[in-house]
Amino acid sequence: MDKDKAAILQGTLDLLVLKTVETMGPLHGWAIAKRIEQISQDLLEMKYGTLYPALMRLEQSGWISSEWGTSENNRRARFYSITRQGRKQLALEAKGWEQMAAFITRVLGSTR
Amino acid sequence: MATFRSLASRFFALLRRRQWDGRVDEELEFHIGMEIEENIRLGMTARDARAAAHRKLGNTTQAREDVYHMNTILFLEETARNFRLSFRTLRKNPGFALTAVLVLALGLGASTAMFSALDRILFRPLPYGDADRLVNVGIAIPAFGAPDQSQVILVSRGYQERWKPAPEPFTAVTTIENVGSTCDITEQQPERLRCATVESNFLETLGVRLSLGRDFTPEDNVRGSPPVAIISHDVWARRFGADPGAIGKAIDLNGKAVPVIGVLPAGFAMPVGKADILQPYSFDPPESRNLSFLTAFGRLRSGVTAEQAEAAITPIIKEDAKGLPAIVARANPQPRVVPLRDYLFPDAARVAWLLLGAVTGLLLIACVNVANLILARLAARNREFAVRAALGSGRARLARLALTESLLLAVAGGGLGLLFAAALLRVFVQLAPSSIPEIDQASLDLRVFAVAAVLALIAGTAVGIWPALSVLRNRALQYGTRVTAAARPRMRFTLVTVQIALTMTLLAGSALLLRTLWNLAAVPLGYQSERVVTMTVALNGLLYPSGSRNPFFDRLLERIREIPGTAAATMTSDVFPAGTSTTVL
Repeated sequence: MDKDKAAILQGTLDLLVLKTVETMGPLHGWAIAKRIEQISQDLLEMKYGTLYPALMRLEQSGWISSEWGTSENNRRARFYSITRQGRKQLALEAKGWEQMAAFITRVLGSTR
Repeated sequence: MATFRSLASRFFALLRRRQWDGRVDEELEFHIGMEIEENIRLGMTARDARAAAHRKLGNTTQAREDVYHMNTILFLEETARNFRLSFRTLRKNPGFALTAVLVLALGLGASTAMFSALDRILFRPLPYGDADRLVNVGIAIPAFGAPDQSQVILVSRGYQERWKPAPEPFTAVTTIENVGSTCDITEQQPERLRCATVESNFLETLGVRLSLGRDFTPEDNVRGSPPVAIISHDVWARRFGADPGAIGKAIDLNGKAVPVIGVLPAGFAMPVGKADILQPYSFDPPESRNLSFLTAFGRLRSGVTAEQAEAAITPIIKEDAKGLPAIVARANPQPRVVPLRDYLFPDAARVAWLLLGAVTGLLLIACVNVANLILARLAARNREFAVRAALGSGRARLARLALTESLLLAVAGGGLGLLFAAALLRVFVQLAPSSIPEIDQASLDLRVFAVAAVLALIAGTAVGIWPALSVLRNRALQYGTRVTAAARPRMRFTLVTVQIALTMTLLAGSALLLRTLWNLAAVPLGYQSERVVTMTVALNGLLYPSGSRNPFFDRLLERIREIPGTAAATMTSDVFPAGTSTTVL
């Protein structure tokens, strides 16, 4: 049970991160967290601790890359940007989500 | 997910795990720093800001562990750790480890050696094409031997009319006239060889392909045709230095130059007797009253059983039997078709299975013994396991640990067993009676090694499975109470029972065998066989015509009597109980 929930969450988080990095350009971890918080507007309650394993997993998959840089307040930070493979993956996952959403909307509409 | 790429990437990540672990620390630290700064900017006190940042970040240990798990292959890691741990524990208990390894080595070694010896008889394909369809065919004459071992023959008179072309359900029938007779090479290096005379389709029917030269042709069986010979691979290598130009060259056989037309493949063996040289025999002309006996082999159509073939040839055999001398004909001759493997190894197969069974029993006893040892030790280690369980080891994991230990023992035992097997096999070959076919060719080969490895693994699992089960079933671990050795008396009792039962069976079996051997050895020969040495002397009939043989032997005896330590010497054409020419010292 827990596993299923985690898997869904994981997929969602990956998608959010990829989309964020794609639209906002190179960002460090904290900025990504803030951006997701801002967009979700409390719809999504998230512990930020889970963000970092996700970032590393995405990097290991080759969908994002990272390099050292300096943050706006002069701290050393790792900046993440999307790779070409990552864009492809994002497009793929986004399409999947849209189809899923459309499907669920239809199901809910027909039973109502 | 479990694609090769993802596995490979995980493997590389495993190598760089420390780096990733460091990175997650850096990132979490950076995140906290940024969050605190922001919180302070929003007006919190430094303390509140820190607390809020941590709260929002959640469980950082969880994050670290996530990254750790992401970058490891859990199973591999655990297995490696289990092996290291098992190795350490075994090294700390050298007495136990040594005993277990030795017991397993003995069991595995005996089974491997036995398998090597029996491999040829039971499992190795015969050196013929499609050998399952080959049969020995002919008339069984009970008076010629024991009922189930009576000689199977065909009579030469009328053989061609009745058996050519091959009757249904045979696709081919071939005969050997004479096997095991000696013939002498009378060149510079004289040599006594075994020659066989066969029908021209002999090799073709057996499905044997010559490694060089041509096969016999039907004309070779015609009386008066020029002599030809096909030589064995050994003779070819020995006398011609494996020269392909040997074909067409002549060898002097019994004083006659015979051209070599072909070379048999290496590893060829006659279905009956042994032969170094094959020559065609001459068919009797139809009007001949000559009667000789042939050993016949046939190839059945596929799917036909020996029984069906036997029924089908009954009329032909009846006709054949009319050619037998009256005294034999009265002895109730019967048609007989015997699958070649049964013909070659009549009792060997039964004995071999028996021995294999005995050795498997031995291996089982070894396994049970070691299982018992491990179990006894496990009882002593219960506390250790309880602690491991308390620290969070799942029961499955504990069982895997126990299994790893026994596998390690089995692998060590298997390695040692292989050495033991090699030594044992050498002893076997020395001791084995020559009646066991082709025992001298038995050797430890790669396939036998594979069998040993499989045996070791099976033994390891078998030995490990009970202790592992006992760990799994152990309720005490679950409840965390103190464990005593009394927790599993029943399983150990079962083990001991199995052990005793097996031992008794083996003991009874070997006692019976010993008794038989004893009886055989104790049969009085009627003379004192101590300090008697025998030797065989063969004279070339060409160089020693009948008049010159006795003077030769007289001279030989005189010379032997002159050898110091010789009490007496004599000569005979046969020795008890099996006959060969000899001198007796």
